[in-house]
Amino acid sequence: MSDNHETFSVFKIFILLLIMTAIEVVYGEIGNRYFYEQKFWLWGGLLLCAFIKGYYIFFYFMHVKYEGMIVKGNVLFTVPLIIYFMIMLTPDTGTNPQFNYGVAQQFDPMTNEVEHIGHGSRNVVNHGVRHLYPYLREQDAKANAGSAEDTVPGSGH
Amino acid sequence: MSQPLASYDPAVDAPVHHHPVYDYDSGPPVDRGKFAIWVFLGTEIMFFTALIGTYIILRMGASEWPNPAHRLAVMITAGNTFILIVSSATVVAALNAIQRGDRQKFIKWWGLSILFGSFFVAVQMYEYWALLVQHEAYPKNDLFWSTFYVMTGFHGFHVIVGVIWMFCVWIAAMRGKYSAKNNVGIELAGLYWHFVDLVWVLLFTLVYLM
Repeated sequence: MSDNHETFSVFKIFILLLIMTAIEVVYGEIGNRYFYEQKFWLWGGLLLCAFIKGYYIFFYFMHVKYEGMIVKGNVLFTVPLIIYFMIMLTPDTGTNPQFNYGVAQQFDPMTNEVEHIGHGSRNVVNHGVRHLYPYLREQDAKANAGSAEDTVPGSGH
Repeated sequence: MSQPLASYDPAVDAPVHHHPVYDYDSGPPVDRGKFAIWVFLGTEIMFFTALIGTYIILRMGASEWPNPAHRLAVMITAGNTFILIVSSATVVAALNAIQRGDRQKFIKWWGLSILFGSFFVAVQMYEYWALLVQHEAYPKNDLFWSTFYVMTGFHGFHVIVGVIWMFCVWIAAMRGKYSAKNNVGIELAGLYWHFVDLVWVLLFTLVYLM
């Protein structure tokens, strides 16, 4: 491959990366504003953009496409390890009901209740955008209905 | 019957070579430095996999998660992402220049890469200052902030190491160390820099947009 051809390819990939970044940011802004709850479309679109960008950086900027099996093998062995890591970790933390509560909350085993811990920060969860979160919206609805029922771990699902 | 040990003189009797001597290199058919950097990058992939994987698992396990657009300056960081991608492109341009033997162009492109990398670090430091001082967003506040600081902090550390490494290569290049035939050191620093860029592309999507 001649230098001129490679430089031309790099320029094309560079432009592609910039366009993909712009698309990703615009899609994220629109998605977070209009369809934040539809995680499949929001996250799916964003991850697709990220993986396309990652592919071009990895295979072209890092020249992996033009390397032999020794270099490729040094990196590709990590893919099954990543899958193994995710599979092993998910049943523990990802699906354990003891961990299944909101980001600004923690489970208190002494009282068997979930408490807010967003102290000391301008935590948007507690300041004006509660309606964006179905979990908190549900809490507010219960409070407005006069219910004294508190949240327990796992009740968000 | 064997000879007594006293009669064995290692200076005279010991063979010079205990293994066959070949007239070719029996190592892997790639440059040793390149092989080493790829092994190192493999470990780095696993390191960031641990961080990102844990973040995904914790986030999937949470019953609710704040919208990052309400907590972080997404557009400023999008500009910073743009800067990092530009720096990756200038690194490729610099490597192409030195491979053609054009040292002056290499110094120019490589210097630009260092400048862009430093700019990225400066913007991230400003972001940290704004979050910690102005908004009192400490890692202890909640899971969002703790995972945010751990992931972006470790990445920022890698960027700083990359900038220092590239600066050292730049100084060496100005002293005439690299040429069209001797440029592996530049390629290794470039590979590390592209990896840092690649990790940021994923982090930006996961932390700032999702």
